[in-house]
Amino acid sequence: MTSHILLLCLLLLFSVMAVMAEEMLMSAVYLGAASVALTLLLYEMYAPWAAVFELSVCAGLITVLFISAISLVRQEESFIAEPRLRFKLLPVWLFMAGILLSTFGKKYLAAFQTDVIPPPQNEGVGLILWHLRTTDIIGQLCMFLAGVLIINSFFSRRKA
Amino acid sequence: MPAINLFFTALLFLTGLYCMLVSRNMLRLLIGMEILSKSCILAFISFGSQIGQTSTAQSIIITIIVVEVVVIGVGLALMVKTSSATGTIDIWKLNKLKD
Repeated sequence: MTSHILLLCLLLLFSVMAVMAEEMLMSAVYLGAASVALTLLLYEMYAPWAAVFELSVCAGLITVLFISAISLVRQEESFIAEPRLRFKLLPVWLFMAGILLSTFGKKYLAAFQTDVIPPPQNEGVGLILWHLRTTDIIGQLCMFLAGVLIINSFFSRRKA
Repeated sequence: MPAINLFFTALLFLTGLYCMLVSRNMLRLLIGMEILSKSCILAFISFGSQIGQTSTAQSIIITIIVVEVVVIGVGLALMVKTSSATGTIDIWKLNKLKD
């Protein structure tokens, strides 16, 4: 229970730091760290497949994509004169939201006071994904194809 | 345990939403969207584990992650293309799309 709350706090902390960081590169690194915290949380809540996907795709691939994009954009292009006070106020807003939520949402949150139920051993994610949620697989393939086509159209070479 | 998960889900959602509302930087918008999707993943797994349907929640999370990576990839490609065309990634300066 203690490790669970610690991981939740780390997830929130890294997310807030990703928003507040002045340098874009540090934001991407903090986002990767938040993904690692979420991975550990998923693993702790009996969801190893989702944890592996989160670690390899969100903490790995998306961080690499972010860093590549940041390196492709020039420093002066990525600099935008935004008031930093907005970002520095985020922890204050979150603290106030936390107090409001724990005060007024207490009776709603109390409805979820049950422990995590471990999944039955014979129930596999592959079985559900391939047999019960086949349309999801088709949707994922369509998304991939659409993404590839869009990126290809962005960076296509024009014929002379 | 799901109550504390939902509490942190709400705070994470607020963080992502705040980032998307406040910032003008295209990259920060994508970071906010990523944080929003993380909060959704946390909500899915906490509800799934509460009703004993962790495997179904995991299969939905895998779908969310796939959609997320495609959206982030397209968003970053759009950002790189925009910065090379206009010289900035400020969304307030993207008012000449018709030209």
